[in-house]
Amino acid sequence: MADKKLRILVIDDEVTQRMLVKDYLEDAGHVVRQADDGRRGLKMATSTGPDIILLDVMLPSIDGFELCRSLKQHPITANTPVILITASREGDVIARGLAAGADDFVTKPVDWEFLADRVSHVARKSVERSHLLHMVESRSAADDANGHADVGSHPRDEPGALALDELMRGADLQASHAVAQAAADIEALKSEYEQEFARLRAENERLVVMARNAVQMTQAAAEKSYAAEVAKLRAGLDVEASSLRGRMDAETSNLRTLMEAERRTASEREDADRAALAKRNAELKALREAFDAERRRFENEITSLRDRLAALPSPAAIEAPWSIVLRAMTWQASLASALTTRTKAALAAGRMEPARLADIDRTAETLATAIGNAKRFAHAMATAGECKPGSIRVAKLIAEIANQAKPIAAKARVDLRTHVASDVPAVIADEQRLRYAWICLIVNAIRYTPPGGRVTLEAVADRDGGIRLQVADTGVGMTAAKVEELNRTFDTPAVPLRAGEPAGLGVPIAAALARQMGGSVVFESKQGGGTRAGVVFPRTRCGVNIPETLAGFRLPMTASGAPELALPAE
Amino acid sequence: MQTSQSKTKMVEPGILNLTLLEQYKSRKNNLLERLINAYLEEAPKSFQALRKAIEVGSYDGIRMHAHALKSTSYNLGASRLSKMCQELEVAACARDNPGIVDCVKRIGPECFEVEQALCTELYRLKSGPDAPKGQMAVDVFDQDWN
Repeated sequence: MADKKLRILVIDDEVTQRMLVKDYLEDAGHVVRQADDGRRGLKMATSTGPDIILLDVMLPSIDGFELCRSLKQHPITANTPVILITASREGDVIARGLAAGADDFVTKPVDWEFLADRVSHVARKSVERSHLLHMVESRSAADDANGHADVGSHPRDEPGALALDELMRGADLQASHAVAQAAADIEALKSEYEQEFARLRAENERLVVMARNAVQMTQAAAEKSYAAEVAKLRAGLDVEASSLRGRMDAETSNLRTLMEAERRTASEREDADRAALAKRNAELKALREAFDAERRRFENEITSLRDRLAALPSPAAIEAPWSIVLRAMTWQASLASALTTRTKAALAAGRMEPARLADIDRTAETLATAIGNAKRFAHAMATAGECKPGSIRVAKLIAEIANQAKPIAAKARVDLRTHVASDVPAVIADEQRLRYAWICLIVNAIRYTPPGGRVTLEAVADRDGGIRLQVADTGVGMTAAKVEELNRTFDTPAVPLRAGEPAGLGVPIAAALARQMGGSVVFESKQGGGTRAGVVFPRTRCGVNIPETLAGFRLPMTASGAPELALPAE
Repeated sequence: MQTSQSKTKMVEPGILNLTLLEQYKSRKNNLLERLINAYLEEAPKSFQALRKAIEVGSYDGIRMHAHALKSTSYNLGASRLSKMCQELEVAACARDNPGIVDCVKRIGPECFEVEQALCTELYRLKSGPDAPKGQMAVDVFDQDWN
């Protein structure tokens, strides 16, 4: 029976499901036809009469249970076994299927490897059941036929009738026996059928009960599994909690140790801070003492300077610059006289030689220059007012004068620089006079330095503790005789001067101004090797530079006189 | 559909039950290839039908199409998608609207992933065992999932 080729109809709307059913069943040697819809499936089943029908429960047009019922009611398919394919394993689905006449169930996901065996098994059972029913029906028909023979009439009035009757009786007896035997067989078959029917019903009921039990067992197992899982989880949680508690205790202990260490460290740090503060206080105290000593030194120095200033010679004792101007004017008058004499001589001769005319012209030009210089000096002295010595910061003065001289240097194409030594003290002098004296020297330096040369304004400490404010140039320089001449006081220069040559009034004026402030003007020069012209002040004319860092510094003090410092709070 | 190198993707573990596909592959008459082709044709339709059922508010329609997609996905080894469809089926039975929306939101991308994975498998089937893994011969990006 298992090898019989079955004609199978698959009714399922899912194409992949149909393809798989077809593939696996055809592989087992069966013939498979497919219907993708319930109505089409019913039509195909009733028209072709397949050996077995595989029917999906969930169909779009007709419900699978309803279709099964229709198939079982149709004469063509009434005995055709129907296997329902369902995704649900629940008891009510199985009960509904059995009620609809289904013969077996296949649940999804389908175990394809055993589908063919399942189908064959169902088909075989169906055939056996059909055979049994056929036998019962055949016996029933035979029984009906024998019942008709009993009611038949026999002729009893013909010759040999008795013998025939006897024979007939014997035959009847045999027939009766046969009938009885047949009846007994029928009864036995009926009994067997009823037993089989009862067994099938019991089997069905058992299946339903089994299904329900399976559901209950599944639930019970699930509950049991859940309870076991809960117990397992609880045990796991207990272990976890115990572990956590242990870790927490360990962490707490570690934390305490760390806090203790931190407390000790903080205490040590406080001690260190306190020591550092004490050290700083000591340093501040030393600084304050040094500051006090320095202040005292400054005060002494100032007192000394005041004393020295008071001891300076009075301006009246020094040659007044105006006397120089007076001499310059005398010289100018002699120049004018010489000019007049030369002019008159030329006029008396009635003719003017070019050389003589040029001489007259140079003399007139020199005279004009001399008068101009005298005029500027007179103006300067007139506006300078009374000589008032004060403390002058040399660096500041040099920077300001360099700015003033810059345009003149630029015009002469001379590089102008400044240099102030770090140990240069302040100067006690009249700033207006010092400026004028120095500018005289700077103008001369620029004048005698060719284009491309350099003029440097310098402030350097002198050997005897004084200060030298000098102008160094890279110009033409001077002979020793000229230097000697310049170091003397102003005298009337030779006449005539060369054209464009200055009358030499600036240097004497600068020297006069320097002397008026207690200083002097000195020259160092070498012909062709540049010149250094400087205003020199002796040590007695020098002040003390207060460092910028100490200027205006006041140490905060408390009422008790101690430094205003406090230790951090405990 | 066309080959697209830029749209290639490896079959991610968990999307398909490759053991099941290997079983199908051993069957004759190119069963796996035919199954994949059938799936690629039917699954988008099922998903669209599902969307339509949601739009018109048909719980029976949702349940039926979710059931169909569940079954066919399971047959192709798309177990995760099948499970999602089952959840949707349950939500539709319970008329649980938020549950339905949640399921559909997850099912869309999963369908997409499954199709891609199946396309990759199809390419490998057609190209033989030496075909480079993870390269697709078909392009599922032109399908309207939105």
